[in-house]
Amino acid sequence: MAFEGKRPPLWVSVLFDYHNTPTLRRILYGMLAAGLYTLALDYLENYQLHVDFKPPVTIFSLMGTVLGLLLVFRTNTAYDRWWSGRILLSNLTNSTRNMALKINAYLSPDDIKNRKFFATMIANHAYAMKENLRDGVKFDELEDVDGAYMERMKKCYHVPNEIVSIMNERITELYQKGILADPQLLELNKHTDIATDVNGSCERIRTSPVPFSYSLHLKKFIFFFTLILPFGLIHDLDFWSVPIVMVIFYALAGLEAIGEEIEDPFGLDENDLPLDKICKSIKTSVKALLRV
Amino acid sequence: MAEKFRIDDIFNEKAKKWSLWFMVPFDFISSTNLRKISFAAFIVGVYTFVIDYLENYWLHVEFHPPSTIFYLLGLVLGLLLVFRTNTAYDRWWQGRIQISYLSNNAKNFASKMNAYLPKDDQDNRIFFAKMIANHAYAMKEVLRYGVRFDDLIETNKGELDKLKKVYHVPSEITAQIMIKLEEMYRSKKLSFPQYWELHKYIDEMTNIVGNCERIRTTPMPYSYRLHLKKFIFVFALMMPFGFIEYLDEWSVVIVVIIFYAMSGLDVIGEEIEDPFGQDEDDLPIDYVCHSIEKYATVALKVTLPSHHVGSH
Repeated sequence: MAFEGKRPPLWVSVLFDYHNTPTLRRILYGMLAAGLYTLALDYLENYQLHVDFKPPVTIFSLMGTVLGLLLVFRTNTAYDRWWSGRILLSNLTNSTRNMALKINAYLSPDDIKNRKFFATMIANHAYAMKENLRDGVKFDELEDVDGAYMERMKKCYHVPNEIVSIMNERITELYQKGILADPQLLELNKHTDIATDVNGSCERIRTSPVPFSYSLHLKKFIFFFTLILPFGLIHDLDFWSVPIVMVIFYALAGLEAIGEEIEDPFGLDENDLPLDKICKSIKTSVKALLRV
Repeated sequence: MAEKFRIDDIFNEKAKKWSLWFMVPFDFISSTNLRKISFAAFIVGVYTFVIDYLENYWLHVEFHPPSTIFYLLGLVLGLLLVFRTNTAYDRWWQGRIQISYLSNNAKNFASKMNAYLPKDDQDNRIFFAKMIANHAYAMKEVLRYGVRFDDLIETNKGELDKLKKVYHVPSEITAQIMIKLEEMYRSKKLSFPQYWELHKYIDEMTNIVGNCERIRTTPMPYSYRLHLKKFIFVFALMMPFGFIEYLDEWSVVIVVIIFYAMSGLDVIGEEIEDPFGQDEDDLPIDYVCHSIEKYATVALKVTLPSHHVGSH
């Protein structure tokens, strides 16, 4: 399984490689606004009004440190969601492979019907989960088995869970017929549980961004910091304070924006997890392991 | 058209809408927390103004601590506040994880029971669907102000009256499920591995309730909270003296902004660390309970009597 990540950029080219996502584009507008604000303030203060409001530099140093620590908190929690999401997806891959290779050993080689059933349903679960985390299941990605299940999947409340139920029913049926032994039933039940757990945990990550009050407070903190920052600089730097304010704003607001973007890692943005590739790999490896 | 699961039903749409930066200064009113702090910040502003006026125009006491003192104090306070934020957030997130485990466990339990029970065993199917849903509803209100028996589903008359007498309702519900499983095992409706498998869900139900109770009943140690509040209070009392000398009336702006930023963190931390209520930042437990009932009935292919879920 080859993963085509971005090649690590050269140091110089980093400067010109701008993130092309809506969240970060918003930061550009913010930067522009901060620059214009500084310019206007500088002109008013130094050439017209001379109010002489000069907050000492230590204030910015103090606020900047607290803000920095908060931004690190924000970055940590957002990244934690991203990384937990990644771990969950790899748990799903591992569990599906284990389930497939166990079923392969438990079932007789000529039981094509059941092999096909499990290969299809395991893959269906991954695909249904993927789109359930976005805007709802795409039924053309799912496959039917013996024309018996498509209708049921389309009508149900929650598609990935319904698929797990379908698998559980089949596993119990095989157990009651004597095809699966006691410990084999226990083993396969473990894997269907993992399927539900992974799905539920991904839904948790998808639906719980950092508490609203925190992200609001952080934004407000950055906003007020930028509001008074020019006063500390315009008296000494005059027009040169414009680029300084813009750079500081970019560094602070950029962290907040990246946090906002990576804390939902299941979408289709640049930094999101390679869900489609993972689903495809699950489908391929499960089919190979079950020899269908 | 039957109800269909949509991921965005759980999601707080407000967070998306308000993430626009230019709206930031205008939403003091929308958030209860921020309203509380805004009021305190206003008082601190008035205090600074009064100090400034008294000192610079009347008394001239010349108490001017150097601003590096505030830098030092502010740094320590900032670190403390980040500690506060981290521990509060940690409780919130642990709570969220437990709630999602509750839902995963209920789904797995219902899905297994559906597979293990014969298709025509309506009585048992209804029993398990009802009990799984009741467990979630009972736990939700145990974490608030005690179980609301109106939330629970009753299929046989008198069931709820018996429940009203017990000490801890979620454990009693789990105990009743356990007794039912034992009966089914003895009458050979469940095989040995099935019986064993289902124990896992019983344990999990009890553990989740216990873990949530731990989060609910254990805020940050009182000494820390008190120390932090005192620290902020003293800091706010002293801050004006550091700035009125060079900034005069402008020190009001600086003091208010610094106070707002710092005390805001404390207030939010306090609010977040009990995530099971119904405040704006609390967890979507009501939604999760509804989806557990929905899922249990769908998986076990039964319908339960409709009931109204309210709140205190």
